[in-house]
Amino acid sequence: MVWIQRLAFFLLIFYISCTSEIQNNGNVFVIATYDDVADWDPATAYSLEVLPMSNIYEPLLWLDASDNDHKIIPGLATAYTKSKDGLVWKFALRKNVYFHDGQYFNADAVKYVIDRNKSFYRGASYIWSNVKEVQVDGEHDVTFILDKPVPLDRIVSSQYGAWMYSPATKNMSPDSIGSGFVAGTGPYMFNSWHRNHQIELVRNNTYWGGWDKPHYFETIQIRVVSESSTRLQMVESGLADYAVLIPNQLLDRLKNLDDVNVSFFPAWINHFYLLNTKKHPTDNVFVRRAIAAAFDRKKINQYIYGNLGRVPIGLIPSNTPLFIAPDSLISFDLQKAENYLKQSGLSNKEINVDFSYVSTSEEYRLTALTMFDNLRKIGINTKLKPGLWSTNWEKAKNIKTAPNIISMAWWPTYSSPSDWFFGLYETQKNPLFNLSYYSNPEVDSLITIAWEYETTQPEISKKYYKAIQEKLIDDCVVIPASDLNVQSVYRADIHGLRANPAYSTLLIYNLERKSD
Amino acid sequence: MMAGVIFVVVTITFFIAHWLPGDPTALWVGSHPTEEQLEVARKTLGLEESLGKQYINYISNIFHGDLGTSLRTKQPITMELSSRFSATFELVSVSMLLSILIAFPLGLIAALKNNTSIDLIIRGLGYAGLAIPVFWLGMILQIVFFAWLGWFPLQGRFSTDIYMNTDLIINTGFILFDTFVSGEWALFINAVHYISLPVITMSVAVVGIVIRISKSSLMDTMKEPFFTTLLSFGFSPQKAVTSSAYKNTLVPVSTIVGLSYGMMLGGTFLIESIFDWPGLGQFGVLSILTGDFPAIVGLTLIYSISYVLINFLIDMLYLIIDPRTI
Repeated sequence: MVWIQRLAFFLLIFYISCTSEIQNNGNVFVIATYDDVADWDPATAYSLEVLPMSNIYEPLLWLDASDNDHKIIPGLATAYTKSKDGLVWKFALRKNVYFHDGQYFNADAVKYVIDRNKSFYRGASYIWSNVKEVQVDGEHDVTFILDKPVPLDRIVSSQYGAWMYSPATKNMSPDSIGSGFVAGTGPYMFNSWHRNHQIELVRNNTYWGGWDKPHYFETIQIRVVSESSTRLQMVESGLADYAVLIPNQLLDRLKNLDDVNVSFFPAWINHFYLLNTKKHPTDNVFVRRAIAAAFDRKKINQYIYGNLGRVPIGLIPSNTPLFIAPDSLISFDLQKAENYLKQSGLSNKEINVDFSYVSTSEEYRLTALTMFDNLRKIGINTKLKPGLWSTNWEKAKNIKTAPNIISMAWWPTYSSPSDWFFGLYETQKNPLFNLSYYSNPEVDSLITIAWEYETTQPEISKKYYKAIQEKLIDDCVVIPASDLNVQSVYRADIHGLRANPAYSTLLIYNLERKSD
Repeated sequence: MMAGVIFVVVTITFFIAHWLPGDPTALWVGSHPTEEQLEVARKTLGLEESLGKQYINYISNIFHGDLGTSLRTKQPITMELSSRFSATFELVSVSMLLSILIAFPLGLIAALKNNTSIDLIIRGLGYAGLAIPVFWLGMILQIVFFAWLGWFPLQGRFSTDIYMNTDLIINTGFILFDTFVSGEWALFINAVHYISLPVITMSVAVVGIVIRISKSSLMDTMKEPFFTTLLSFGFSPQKAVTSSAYKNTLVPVSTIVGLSYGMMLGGTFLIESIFDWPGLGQFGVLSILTGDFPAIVGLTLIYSISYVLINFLIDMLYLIIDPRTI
């Protein structure tokens, strides 16, 4: 009988542990995300790390892009000035700020961080490439000397490579840095990292911003859950407060749930298709225009992207700073497409194009199938070439293996249209991201001028960016597909969530849990 | 011979992974790299060397326990694999044990009750186990036992809160073993609780196979003269099976168990993704999806070693089960 009693006791304990799982997270904010942190060094982290890091570290300035004003707001710097030529920037630093390891935040720390970040060849270290020198003017004053008039206020507010961290890092072992122990000044501190399982951050009680509101979260848990349907179930059941990257087709089942909200916020990311200008038959501008006229942008956004996309009106997302829409894009019209094809002089020959797209994206896949059908209607045979981005990219960099059409997504490291134009359309001897192989000295020069005016004369810069877009549309180098929205799936009792396309993260300090 | 098999597998995987199109530096440096960053990455990853030299370096590093660095996680692959191997091995071993404990007796019963309603039910269970796709079953179990009944956790290997507050006197990475030896019953029960749904999902297909094999081999045994002799001595069929005849089924069953073990190791890709089990399968899926070729080669190495070793152990087991094979 003893063994029966033991078995009954075991089963009772087991049952209790089984039924205790579903719970309210209380003052713990739980995020279910799809992958783990790969790089804990705030100097070089360049991916999902932004989620924990934006709560641990702070930049000198923040960019509030929640509306079209795009305000620069104080971070660890309270004020800044720039010289007329845009080459000298002075920052007044916030006083009485301490890193989580107890070190005092001052101008020496800023200089240390910038000098260290510049020394790397990974991540977003290149954002500091135009910083010639950082001068310490006093305990709380620092000057940046630039070699070109780049928009430093937006660079120091970048979501990658601009976090301020403790100079004690110089004495830390690579293992300690790689385990998340680099101290920041933010509202939350690193507590633990259970690799591929969970990251835990706890409240920094000495945070300079204070904890005077009634409902702050004490702890942040970031759980790595690779399967999207599992992440969704976690939010549905209350195990998680926020789920990252839930496929659109799974969201329908949340429609009738009062406990979970789904919101879509405009992002600074766009999807587009580059057309190869050096490869037959897309080296013919009329063939390119025919392909562009066969692209049904409105229907693709309506039926394929749904809430995840907006119909683009230019070559960069319409909410990007310094954006002015070009006069028009090539619109969908199959009759016009056929006419372009006739003008190309190739309409009586067989026209074949290779169409390369990222196979892991359902949006790219469905768009490719739509294009396949539309191009067939105007007499263009399309060979679809799905693949991983790394594979597509390597092939596209070699003109012999490059496709005629390639899918791409782009987002800026810091908030400037120049990021798109330099990266994608400036002449490159060995194409890196200029996968259309486009080369136009006039456009090259316009991009440089627009970029240099960004800081000193933004209104003029805007006009140049518009002119660049119109030239690229005329040469039909690219087909814009969709300006993307970022999706937020979260428990309905979470309040304070705001859209800020400048940062792909959640600032938990601004959130609270309250029942309506 | 075992070493030869592993060497050939690693060599083939290494060259296939390197010949496949794709730029590994793209994953290493992140999105939108500069040409300068790419050059530094190529040097860091040793990709500027000829393929032959890269291969020689790789093989020589393997002997030093170095499988390179994952392009995706930026961590040493040896560390990634060692931390995940215990999770996968534990999941597969518990699933295999459960499958045998359930399926072997059921197979024997089905043979003894051949063509009765009991046999039909057992056969039906076996066919269902073989026919149900694991990814579907996993999701259904999650919906029923987590979402509806709330009896089992949705994902993961254990509750982090309990894990953090537990002092294990031994830490092999096999949570059930470590907690059992350490007498940490709260974490042990918690780990049993977490492993239950993945184990049930994984066991179902193997249960079907083992039922079929054990039944058919016992049916053959029951036609042997020695079995008729036992019956003529007055043994009931049940007694004849449990005292002697079942031993004859152990060789084919252990063969199928060995093969199924390898199948299960490969099959963890789906189960680990669904239940977010932090094992080799989940790591493999993400490595393949992102083109992390050093991780793929490392995974292949560990899978081939495991498969070869398990089959070696099964061969050794034959000697115990059937001494005539010596």
